[in-house]
Amino acid sequence: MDPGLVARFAAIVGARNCLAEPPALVTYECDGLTSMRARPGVVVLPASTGEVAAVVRLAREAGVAIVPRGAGTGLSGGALPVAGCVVVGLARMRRILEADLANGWARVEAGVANLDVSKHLAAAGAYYAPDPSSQRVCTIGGNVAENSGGAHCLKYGFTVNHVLGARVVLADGSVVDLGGPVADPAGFDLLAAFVGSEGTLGIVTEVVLRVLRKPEATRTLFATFPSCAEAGETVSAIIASGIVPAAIEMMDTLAIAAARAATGLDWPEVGAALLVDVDGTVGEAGHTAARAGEIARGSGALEVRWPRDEAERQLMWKGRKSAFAAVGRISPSYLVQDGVIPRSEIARALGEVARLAREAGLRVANVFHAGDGNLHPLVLYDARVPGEERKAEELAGEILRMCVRLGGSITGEHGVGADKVVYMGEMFSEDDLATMDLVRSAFDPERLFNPGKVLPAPRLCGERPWPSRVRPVEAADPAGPA
Amino acid sequence: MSAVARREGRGGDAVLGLVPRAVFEPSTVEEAAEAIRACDAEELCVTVVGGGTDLGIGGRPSAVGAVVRTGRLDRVVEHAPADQIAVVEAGVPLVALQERLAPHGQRLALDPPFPGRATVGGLVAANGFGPLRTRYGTTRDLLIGATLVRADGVVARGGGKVVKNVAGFDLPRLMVGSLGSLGLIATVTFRLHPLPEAAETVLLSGLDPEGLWRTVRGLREAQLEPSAVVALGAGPFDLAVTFEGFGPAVEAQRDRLAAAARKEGAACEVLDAAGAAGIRERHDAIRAADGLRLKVAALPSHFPGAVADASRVLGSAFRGPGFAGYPSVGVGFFTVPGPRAGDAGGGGPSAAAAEGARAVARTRELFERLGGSLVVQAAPEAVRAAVDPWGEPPAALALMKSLKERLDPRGRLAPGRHAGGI
Amino acid sequence: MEGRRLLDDCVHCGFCLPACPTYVSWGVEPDSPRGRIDLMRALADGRLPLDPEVVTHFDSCLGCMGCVTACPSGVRYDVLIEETRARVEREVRRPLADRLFRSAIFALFPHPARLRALVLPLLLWSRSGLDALARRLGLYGLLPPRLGEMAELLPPLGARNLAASLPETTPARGPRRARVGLVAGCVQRVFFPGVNDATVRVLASEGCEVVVPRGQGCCGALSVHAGREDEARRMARALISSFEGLGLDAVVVNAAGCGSTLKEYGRLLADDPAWAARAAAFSERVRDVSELLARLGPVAPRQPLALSVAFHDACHVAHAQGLREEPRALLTGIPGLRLLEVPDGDQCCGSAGIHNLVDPASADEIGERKVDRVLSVGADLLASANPGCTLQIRKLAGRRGVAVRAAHPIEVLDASLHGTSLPGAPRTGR
Repeated sequence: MDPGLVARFAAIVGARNCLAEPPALVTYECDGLTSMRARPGVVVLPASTGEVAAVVRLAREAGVAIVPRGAGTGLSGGALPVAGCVVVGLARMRRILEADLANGWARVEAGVANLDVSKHLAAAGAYYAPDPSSQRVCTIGGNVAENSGGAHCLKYGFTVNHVLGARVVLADGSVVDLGGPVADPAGFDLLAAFVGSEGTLGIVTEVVLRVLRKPEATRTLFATFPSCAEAGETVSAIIASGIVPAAIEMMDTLAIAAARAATGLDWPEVGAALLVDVDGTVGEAGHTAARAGEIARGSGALEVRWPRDEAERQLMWKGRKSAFAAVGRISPSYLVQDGVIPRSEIARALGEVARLAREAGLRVANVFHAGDGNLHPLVLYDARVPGEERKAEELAGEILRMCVRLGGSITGEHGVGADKVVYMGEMFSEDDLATMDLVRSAFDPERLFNPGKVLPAPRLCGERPWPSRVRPVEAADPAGPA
Repeated sequence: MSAVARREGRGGDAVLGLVPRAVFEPSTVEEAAEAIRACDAEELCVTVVGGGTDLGIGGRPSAVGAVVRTGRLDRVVEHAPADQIAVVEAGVPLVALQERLAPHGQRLALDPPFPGRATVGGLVAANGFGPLRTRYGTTRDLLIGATLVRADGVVARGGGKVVKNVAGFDLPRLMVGSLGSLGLIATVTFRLHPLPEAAETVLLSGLDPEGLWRTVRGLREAQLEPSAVVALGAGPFDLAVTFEGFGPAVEAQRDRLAAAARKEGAACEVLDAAGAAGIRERHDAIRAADGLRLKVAALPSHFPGAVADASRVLGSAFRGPGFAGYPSVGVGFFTVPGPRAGDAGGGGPSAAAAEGARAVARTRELFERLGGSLVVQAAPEAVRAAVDPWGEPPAALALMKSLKERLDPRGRLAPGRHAGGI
Repeated sequence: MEGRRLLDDCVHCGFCLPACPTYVSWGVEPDSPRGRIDLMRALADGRLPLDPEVVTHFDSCLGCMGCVTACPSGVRYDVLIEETRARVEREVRRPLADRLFRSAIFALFPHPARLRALVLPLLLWSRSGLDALARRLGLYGLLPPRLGEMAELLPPLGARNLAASLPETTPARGPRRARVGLVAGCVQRVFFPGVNDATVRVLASEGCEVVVPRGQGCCGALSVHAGREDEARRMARALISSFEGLGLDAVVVNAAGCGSTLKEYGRLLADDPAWAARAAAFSERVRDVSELLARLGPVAPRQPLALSVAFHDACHVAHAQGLREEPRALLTGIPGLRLLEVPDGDQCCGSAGIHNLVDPASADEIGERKVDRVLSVGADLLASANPGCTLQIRKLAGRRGVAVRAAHPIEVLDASLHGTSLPGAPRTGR
């Protein structure tokens, strides 16, 4: 990027928070999706809404694309830079500004880590419900952009159900508050459109979160099964019984092995396992947990375990939450897929996944939110074997098409980002996408924010549009278009 | 392709007194699109009408060239009990949907007044809700997909049929509370909930504002999980707290609340089924009154005090204003039965109307001062003429206008009805 | 190459970010474990040259290994950063002032005799009252930051520091359960001789015969962490030699950084055919003192201590050696003692070997957070198993005018077993 322009960015955020040297830029080439890379022209780390607004105004004046970034944990390439763009990182905006627990809300800066909110509120017996597996790291701003879910959204809903308001910097550099702590503000529900817009409509700098009182009791059970069929049947039976569990997580043999390797848990080698949380008042949780345990046994569980204490419960959940990254311990490389199927179709869908994997000659580990049918197949491969990566990508794509065929979705929580733009056309018609694009242009007519994400570029419809899988070598273009 | 049913507008089709030139009654999504295209071609402004229960919300449309009635869009397209979702055409009355779901032990956790008339599409467009909002939120929290017809007649779909889905922008939720000004809602997809095995209601009566807030906060602190918390009357308040779920757990919550209330010395009664139904009727009667209907909102901690003050202000201008609200959410409704709500004061209709308008304006001040709001949902003509139905323009008005311009560039859909004159 | 394979283990999930003190301080990716691994990859792929600009990001790493604990994929960042630092030392020429300062550190700290020689003038300085005056007037702030840092870090010194020496052999009290050798440490033995005394007494009471080999040198931890591999290997060979042939069941260490290095000798000398097996056998037998005592189980009677103790996890115990329960167990066995956790206890204090000497501004920023958390506990005493951490926390608390009373957990156990008095509160800075 032109040094003069860099200097102007530096003047806004301070030299130390304006990174333009090649080594620093290399570390921002991708987020949690490493197969796509592009080098930004500059990375700025503003400390206030005012600084964000000034950065946006300058970028707009210079005609440089803007890519917002939280902690860079996203798995769909939502924070993938556009070559030569300005990356606006919110990692320094991490204050918890106020908490009004009596009224059930807290106002935080966008860079606050998800779990830090709950930690901050823990002493008062409150918490923030959405709990993506990356919650120690991922930021609230990133959660808003992606409409993040997590294991416990089965009962409590997603980010969109827990965000009451947002302070947003728009493409013209203006700052606007959408929603707020008081219910039912007048006007269109622009906040609903903003949540999950993946950084294409503006940059969120402050968020008003709904804060819940901790349930009186949480009961957890861990059940093992000979195969995914019985586990899937158990999920359906629990839901059908009228229980609304806080979470039902499912792991298959490979995922159990990975979690065991990462945490040292004494989980057995079985075909599948469910980790179920029920919560509520002591009476409610006790009753529903017992009933869920009976259902699991009745549906063919090999064993139903109850954690002895909170420490063991935490360890079980740690095993589940580590399982993703822990798959790195059992395979040199893997792709994480995120698709949704109707939750009654789990057994059938997993059977299909297994068949597709066999045909491709690859292994697939499954660890996912079974209660809402949100599959996370992990396609294992070895990048050093020529052609395997492509095969893995094709298999992951086939799994998504299967999800759509079964009436599901191409993404349940990871977002479309850059990774799944090509699949949007399989789920939505041209008219659907054009309508979404109208919403986008209402916020950002010049498409400065995160171009190439969520919606296929209109002129490329039908082709494999931007950005194709950019290889590191191709991306090493520090000059960029600016 | 069948042609959409069309006829001349009549007096009974009037929207806030405006009689449309044409009325369309589509029976398929395609026909709905055809109707909108016809309006676009003939330059008719469109008001979409479902059960007609909430047509008074917001401003009077600046023109009603056509009404599109959704009543014949009356199919439950799909109910997948195992997936707990239902795809429903917009014109299906809520009660008809619930009757389809109940045999499967399921419901849509939405319980506004007029379930027999209110349609699911209308509930989304008007952001309708009832006591269950306490636990389940609004249509915004239950809606997972929608098909809409844009002002240019293009049919667009957003969301999906699965409860978890983040593909694309959230067009369905953008429709919530849009009052037909961004598009015609043709079908909606909801997530469903199990019907509770048991329900228990505890009635606390004679609460002053402090006592009401103490009780509401106490529920949270005691980690009780009511599905409905309803305040009725405003001086003093009656508070009905309903617990739902599995039998023994529900009884335990009921008894804990009753014990806590008695310890505080509050008048407290555990209601039987008839008693609970009576409360429900009282609630619906207050909510349904449409001589005057004001929706007020404030933070829960401010809410009881503001409601009590507002009750006095409104009582000076209107005969016996009723109040029904949801104090744990901080939302409620002041209503006066129609049609002659403005006839309270002395000095003839115009003086009464002026007094009524002043009382509404002062009530709005009470809430706005606390960061809350007041929206007029129904009012006598004279009050409507003197008071902006929305109050302070929203902070994001420019963005709202920008969105409206994109989705309805020629301003055909319910122009002037929404906040800021949109 | 091992390094490349280890790099590929990183899946870029970012779980390491909140565990990294420099990322928490500055919020920038290149100063995070994930970012540094990106840089290592870019270097390996030839996408970046190894120049001083890249090196700043490796230099900023504290080596606390918090990321190793946090990593769900089991990435060996500890190995990666050490290999990278060795390459930096081989290939990058640092600015002159930097080279001189680093040389001075490595000429001083790994040499107990030299350190001790430094103690006499420092003792006179502190006794003269000039030290207190200088602290009060903030004169250390006028020194060049790195020198000021060294002076300000110094613990309260006494004549004991000059004379420090331990008996070569201490018999077990009661039946002998093990024969162990004690690694005395450099900084530990000169600045915190009481810790070694306490260690010997406690081990003896718990049935260990304790051997302190004469002439043992530095373990080379500081050199390893700075990428000075040849120097580290030299020191390792010497230390192994001095502990061989003594018939020891275990080699015991009470300083965190030394312990983790000793346990890695096998890897350090793996490419040296003459030493690989000897080093591996040595590392096998190394135990942190808490680890050894936990394995043996308590036998000596504990006397009550009415004390609330905040426990500080030293990174090189908790992260590098994976010992969290064992050091706590030393304390929880003491009747009347209330053990309190420091919030965000898995975070580094900023001391980090020589980090607080070479980059004091960064170290202080990190240390201030630790001091906030430590003080928030409101305990009577801080238990810290690493001399560097203790110095760092005391120094920064001292600047706030707060005297933090600190002791090694083994000293607390010593007080319970033998009625010895615990270290008092230090002078405060200003």
